[in-house]
Amino acid sequence: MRKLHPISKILMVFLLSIIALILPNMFDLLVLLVFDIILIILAKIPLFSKGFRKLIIFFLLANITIFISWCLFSVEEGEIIFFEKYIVLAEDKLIWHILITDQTVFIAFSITLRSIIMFFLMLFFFIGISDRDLIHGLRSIKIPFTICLIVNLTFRGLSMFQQEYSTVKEAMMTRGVEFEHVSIPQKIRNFISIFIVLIVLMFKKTEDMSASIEARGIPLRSKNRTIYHYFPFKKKDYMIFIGLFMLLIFSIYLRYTNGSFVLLFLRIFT
Amino acid sequence: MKPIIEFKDFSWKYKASKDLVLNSINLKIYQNEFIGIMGPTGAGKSTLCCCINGLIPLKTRGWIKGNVEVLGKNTRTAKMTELGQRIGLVFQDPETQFIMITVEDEIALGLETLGLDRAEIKNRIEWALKLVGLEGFEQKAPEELSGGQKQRVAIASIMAMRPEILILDEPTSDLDPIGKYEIVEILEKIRKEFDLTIILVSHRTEKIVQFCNRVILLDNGEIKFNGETSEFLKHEELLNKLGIYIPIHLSQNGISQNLKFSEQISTGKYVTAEQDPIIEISDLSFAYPNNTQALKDISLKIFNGEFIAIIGKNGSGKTTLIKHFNGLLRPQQGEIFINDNPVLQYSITQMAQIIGFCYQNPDHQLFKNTIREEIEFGLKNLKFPDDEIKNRYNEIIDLLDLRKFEEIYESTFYLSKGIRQRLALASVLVLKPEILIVDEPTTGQDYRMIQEFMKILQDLHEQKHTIIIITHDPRVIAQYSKTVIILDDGNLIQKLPTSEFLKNEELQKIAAYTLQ
Repeated sequence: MRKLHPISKILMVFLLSIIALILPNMFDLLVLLVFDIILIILAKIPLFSKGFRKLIIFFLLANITIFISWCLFSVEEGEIIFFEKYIVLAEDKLIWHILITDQTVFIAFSITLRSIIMFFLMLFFFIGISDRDLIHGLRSIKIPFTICLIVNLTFRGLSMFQQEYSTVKEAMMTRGVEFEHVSIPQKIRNFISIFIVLIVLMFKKTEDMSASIEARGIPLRSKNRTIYHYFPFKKKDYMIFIGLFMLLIFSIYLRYTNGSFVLLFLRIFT
Repeated sequence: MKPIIEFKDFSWKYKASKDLVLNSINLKIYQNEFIGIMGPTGAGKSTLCCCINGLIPLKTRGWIKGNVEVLGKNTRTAKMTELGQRIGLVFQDPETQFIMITVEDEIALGLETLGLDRAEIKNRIEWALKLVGLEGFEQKAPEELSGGQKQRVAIASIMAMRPEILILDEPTSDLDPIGKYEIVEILEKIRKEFDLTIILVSHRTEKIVQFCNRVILLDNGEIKFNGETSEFLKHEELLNKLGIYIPIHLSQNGISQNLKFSEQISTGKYVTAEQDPIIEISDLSFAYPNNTQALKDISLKIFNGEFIAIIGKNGSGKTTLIKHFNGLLRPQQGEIFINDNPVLQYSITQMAQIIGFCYQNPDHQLFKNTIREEIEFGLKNLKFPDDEIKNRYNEIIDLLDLRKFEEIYESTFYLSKGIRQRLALASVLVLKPEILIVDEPTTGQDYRMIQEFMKILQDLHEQKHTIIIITHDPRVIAQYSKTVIILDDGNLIQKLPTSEFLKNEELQKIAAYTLQ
């Protein structure tokens, strides 16, 4: 996985996300999820480590909420599989109608699956592709230097912003500013104060960085510029491109025919 | 011999400034010279550097008179790209010079622009990193490096481009004394090897005197002295007038290679362990998430009324240690007691009134628009009554002589760095903390500003405040601190009186204090 061209990895995330949105069938989505999990394993993303625990729990709770909400608040045609109940909260006035059909559950399950697939793809994007990979990848495919520099400065700016944020927050705490045991409006006011300082600091830093680039004689356009980290596309990158585009076209076909790759596969082989 | 840099009756004023920043400069610099530029803050030193590099007038708006010719090109008409590649300029702040996201990419950025092939870029990266002592740091990100290491990367990335002229604007302000010495020694070596012309801006007289063969002294945009280094120190009256530090051993005995500061031992008293400690640390250890073990089993007592300098090489754990004093970092192992109570028992608001913390960069610590709002900020957070706020405000603004600036400047944004630092100190002191911690109070400041700031700390110490400073400045350690705490690679080496430390060459070596 690490030997893949960074652009192949980005394209993979992008196309698989589109495919997840297009595929109509729950079983196809399940297969995509399995593929997603294989990606995560190959990229050696420590999904069950301590650092991810909170994120995973939050994500699971969010998905359970989405599933239950869909079941309780949507009405879909289909066979009633659970129950149908009219809840009257005020006299002679219907407030809420719960109707859970087989289609409700299928759709809720599909939405949840799509959400899980997207979550894994996002993890793969943010952890499996480093900022460095991305910039080298962009430069290798001859994206203009200006764009690569902007992407690079965005990453650099984010890391500087993070450092400055924690320093300014600490400095405020040393002056008696509470961030934990205060009301939400006060908390918002405190964070606004931090961001005002940060904006001023970032303006200054941007100015200095731009002077530093100019002072080193680095032009935005240059015919002589070479690339130190050059990653050419390999055979496996091309194979991934072709495979993903074929899958995309097939998914569009399934969407319009309301078909299923899994069911088609089972029909052929059984 | 033809000069490679020539200022011809050159004057410059920034678009936003009222007065000329450089006024009628006539100056010739020849190949292979090692020039030192000195002068008080605001003298025009950095502007002069930008004029040589072409940033002024090519990329900066302002009023100009006269010409600057560099390497046979008039900077008014030359191309910035060409000047930038032939004239390397290292700025003071290494953070903002780090454009890319790894050390290797940072050095490669300039080399790619020169059109070099991959093999040559690789060779030059290795060469430049070896030159600045950072071999093996290729894949490090800027956030993994200390300030000193970033400064070395900035120098390496310029040196790799093999410029014909190298300008360094206070390039070693974040380094420990040995680090500073090593960098200047490297510069001297490469000057000889590559027939390089070097222009070094510095507030440190010792360094200029030791390495430069000519000194240019600027004040208010005018050249006040331009001559041989040996002549420079003979103008004591001028140097004193401009607040340029003259080391005692230099002014009395001429140029010396041995830079020691023991002749300036402070005369204050060393507080002994007869009383209860105000801070007590036992078996403190701390590691950062990247597994860097910053502190190892530190046990230490700090007493009321001490004036302590925490010293040690870059990355020895000084800042990590002081952040434990006020609970900004939580000990992973060991305990910290403030006035006999565990530090974690104190709330943020209680801690703000016990320990005041001044950051190295005042910009991190100034949150409000006016001097009054800034000083009152902490008091209002701690819900002091209005009368008390008013009284304390008047008391502190007079103590730190800030009232005149309140009348002149509408916003704190327009204050100079020195005054901003003083305001940051005022905003901390107004809470009347028992202990005051100041992180690197002298970085990038001229001698006069350092003296003014340290005098305030000394006065506070005489009023029984406990003062703890982190510093690399040997003058400040010798002149002001009464006690030193030496850290090395996360270990506490010793806590001892400054007078004893100044006699102990072994400890001075560990603390990166001496050059021998």
